[in-house]
Amino acid sequence: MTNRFVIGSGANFNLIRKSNSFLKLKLTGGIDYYNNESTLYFPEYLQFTVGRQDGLYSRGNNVTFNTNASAFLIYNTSFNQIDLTSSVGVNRLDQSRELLTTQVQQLVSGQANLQQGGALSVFNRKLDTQDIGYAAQQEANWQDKIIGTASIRLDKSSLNGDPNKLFAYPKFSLAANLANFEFWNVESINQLKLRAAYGEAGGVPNPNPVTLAQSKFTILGATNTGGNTGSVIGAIQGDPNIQPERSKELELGFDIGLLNSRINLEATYYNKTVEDLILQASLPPSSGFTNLVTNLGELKNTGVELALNANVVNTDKVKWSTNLNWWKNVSELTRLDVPAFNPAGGGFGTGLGTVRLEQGKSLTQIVGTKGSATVQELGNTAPDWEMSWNNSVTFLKNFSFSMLWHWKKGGENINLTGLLTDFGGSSYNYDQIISTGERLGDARIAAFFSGQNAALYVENSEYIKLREISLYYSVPKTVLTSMFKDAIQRVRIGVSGNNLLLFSDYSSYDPEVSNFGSGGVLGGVEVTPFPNSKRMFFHIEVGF
Amino acid sequence: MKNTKTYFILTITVLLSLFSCEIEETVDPNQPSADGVLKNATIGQLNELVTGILASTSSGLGVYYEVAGVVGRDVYRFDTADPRYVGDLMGTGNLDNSAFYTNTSYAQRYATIKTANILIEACQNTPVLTAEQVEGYLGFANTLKAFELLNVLNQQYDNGIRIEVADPLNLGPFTANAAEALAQIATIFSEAAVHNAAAGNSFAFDLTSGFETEADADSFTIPANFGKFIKALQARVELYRGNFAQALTFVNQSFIDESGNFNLGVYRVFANASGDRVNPLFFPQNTNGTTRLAHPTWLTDAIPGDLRLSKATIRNEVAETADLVATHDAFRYTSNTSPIAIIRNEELLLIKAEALIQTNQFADAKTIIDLIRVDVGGIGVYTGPLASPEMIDELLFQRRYSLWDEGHRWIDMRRYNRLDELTIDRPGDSVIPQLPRPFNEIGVQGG
Repeated sequence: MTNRFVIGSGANFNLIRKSNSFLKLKLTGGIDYYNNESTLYFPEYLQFTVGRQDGLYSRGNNVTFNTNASAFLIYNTSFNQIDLTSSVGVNRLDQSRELLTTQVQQLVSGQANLQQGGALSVFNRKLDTQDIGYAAQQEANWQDKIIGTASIRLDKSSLNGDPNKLFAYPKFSLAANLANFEFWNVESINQLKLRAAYGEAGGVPNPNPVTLAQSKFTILGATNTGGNTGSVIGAIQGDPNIQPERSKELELGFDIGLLNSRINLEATYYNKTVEDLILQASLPPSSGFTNLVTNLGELKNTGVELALNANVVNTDKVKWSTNLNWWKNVSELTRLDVPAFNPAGGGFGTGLGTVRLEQGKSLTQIVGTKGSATVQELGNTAPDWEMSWNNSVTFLKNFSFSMLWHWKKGGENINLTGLLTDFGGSSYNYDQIISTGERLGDARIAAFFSGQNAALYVENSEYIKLREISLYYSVPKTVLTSMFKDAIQRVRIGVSGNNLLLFSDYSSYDPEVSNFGSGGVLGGVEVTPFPNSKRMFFHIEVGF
Repeated sequence: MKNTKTYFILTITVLLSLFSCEIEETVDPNQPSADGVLKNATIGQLNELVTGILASTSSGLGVYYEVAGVVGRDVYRFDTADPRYVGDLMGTGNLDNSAFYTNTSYAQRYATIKTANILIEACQNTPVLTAEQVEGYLGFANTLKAFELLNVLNQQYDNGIRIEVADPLNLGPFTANAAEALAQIATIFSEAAVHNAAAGNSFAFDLTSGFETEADADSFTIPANFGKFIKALQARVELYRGNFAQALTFVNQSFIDESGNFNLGVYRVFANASGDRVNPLFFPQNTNGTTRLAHPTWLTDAIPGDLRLSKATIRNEVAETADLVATHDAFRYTSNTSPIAIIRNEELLLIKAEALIQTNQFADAKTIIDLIRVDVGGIGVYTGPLASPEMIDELLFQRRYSLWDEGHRWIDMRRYNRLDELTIDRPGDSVIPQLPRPFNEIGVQGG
């Protein structure tokens, strides 16, 4: 059961109001209370608890209470046709969380009560954080021809090692709408905007989402022996001087609108560096710790994004708009203060292929054993580039059709499903006879044991997918009116599907799945996962 | 105009109140933190570290003793989920530097050492203790630290170990070999002895029942008797170093009791309580599948009628896996709360006997060996020659039966260069001299 109350309020005070300028105070504040109660009951007769927990009953109560408050002074004036807006202010965010779960096992028959069982265990974690930020911003807009912004934020947070140290994050942006200038006389190009922006942003050291452990603390764990309670060193070394990550991004681009914006092209190049990257690295166990969480590296991402939108056909009978996106990203770990290591969730070690964080290498490189058992780079889970193509067509007045294609070019997966099915003798091409007269599966297994190991199962995962396709028919308004008067406003019926078509040479079911979720370095490892399902829907929508 | 003024005052009040916000230094709301005890610790916090060190000393022991027992051919360890006990550890091929047998005990021993290092720093950084109390904490912490370093060394041996590990980001070097490590461990023990000698009449902390004895006056919970425990461990280290005269001096200063009382000593204790741990070496008799078994040669090599053979009990059905067959369960530990010795009198007697043999005092050595043979084994007195190689053979034989399944056989045979005398059970097996250095000590380059 979940209870949530969100209250927000704001007030604007106009302090000065003149014909071409104003000064106002903007106050906002909010409270967010979130309470999540859980009850879990596995009766003692359930097969999977018999002889193990012998029944399990748990009650949980998680409370989150957040407040925020901000005050900004905003001043606007015009000067020589330049619209100037200045603002300065402060905001504060307080978060408080408490997780509490009580659980008993070995239930008395038929009883769902915390007193009617044994092996009582309690999970209780708290987190209180405060974040305070000061901000100042100046905007200047010259008749929508040139727009510039400069701002700075000063942030501090209780999650940082020094809670009162301020970290400054400047931002600048400049855009020029060339088509808005008087000299512009190219009829067919109705918009040409050049953009440049540079911004810095901070990422505070986030607490562990489950244990709420904060990276700044080196904990002492509870233990006991001989009836006394004791403290022992925790497994993870914290850093009392941990700082927020700092990202610095330079973005350059242009937007072109052709033929009265029937065709739009947006192009962006970015170069984003993350300094003081927070990583959990392995420590030598002789330190007494197994891991260390702190600012350990620097990451660089560079990339290009292109978007083309076009209303290809725009007539009364048929409208077809298409949207083509193309993007590419290249990452490099430019600094790593500890020896290269294999991050958790990046695979199962070099014998089977793993993602490895290593200075000077891509964040998503796959390394593993090959040939004479030396560990080497075998691939990269990140694609060379990706492309999506979205189309929507309306025709015969009331029909609409859309489809979304996705093309991932290049990139590799660690396909351990291939390894397992080879061991099981059930790979689809296991029995294929190769030139040596052997069966292909036998040859692969022999190669695996002779040191080829991981290299055999790092596989290209390029694909083209039809992600979404749909066809709808809207019942004409005239028909609805004649049949239902005004009772029914809108009726739409249709069919749609997800993941219906896949074109790929990848040998397992789906090149897109991963054993460890996606994002960061977690993609691209598969161990007999459930593939993305193909789904078909039939829709009837009625609007009253 | 008046309104404007009011607004300005309001604005400035609101802004100032927000701007002046200081964030308070927070402490971890969920558990004590290491930094929190390093300065101005209370006696309660220091004593929680003492208990933590003792609890940590009892953790991760299963793997430590399985390695020593399997490699030293005291026991077989069968595990339905892990073939490496009857594979890697019996020397069938390469050892894995990231396997559980390499890492589990290693990391746990160093976690104890880390907690001991925190106690060493914390007890010197608080105003609540008397000088004698500080010495008590230092004596205890250094003793347990040196003991855990010795346990790491027992498995790493000539790989060397790190001694200086107080600063996690600036760890000290590995010792060049086992001898250098033993010398440094001996130094830490002697520092511990000096601190303990200055600790007055009582400690500011409680120890577990593993430090208590039947006669209260003998309990190792007061500095005077704790000092005898340190001497006992120092005697073991000097024996391992081959400094037999020094070992004899230390063993005579220890709690050695030549009138018997063979189990007098200091133990790691176990309990079924929540948060505590049970003896990992205990398996009920006649367990099938995952279980511990007496190595067949330990039974066949024995003198018939030796009472010490009761530490292994005959099974209803033989246990068999991977071409290994065992008829007897290892039943050295008869319940899951049986304590495991850190050091006890029976070992001290054997240390003394060995030191006497090595310093050519054969008749005195025979007295002690006969005490063990008759009073513990129920076998007749030693009748062999009073001379060196024969009496060393006899001594190692007595250690094999007296200290069986207490992690000694592998170490004893290694220090006498006799690993080749241990049984090879199957073609292709071998006796591994030491475990590899853990993967994460090397860094993944080249791994």
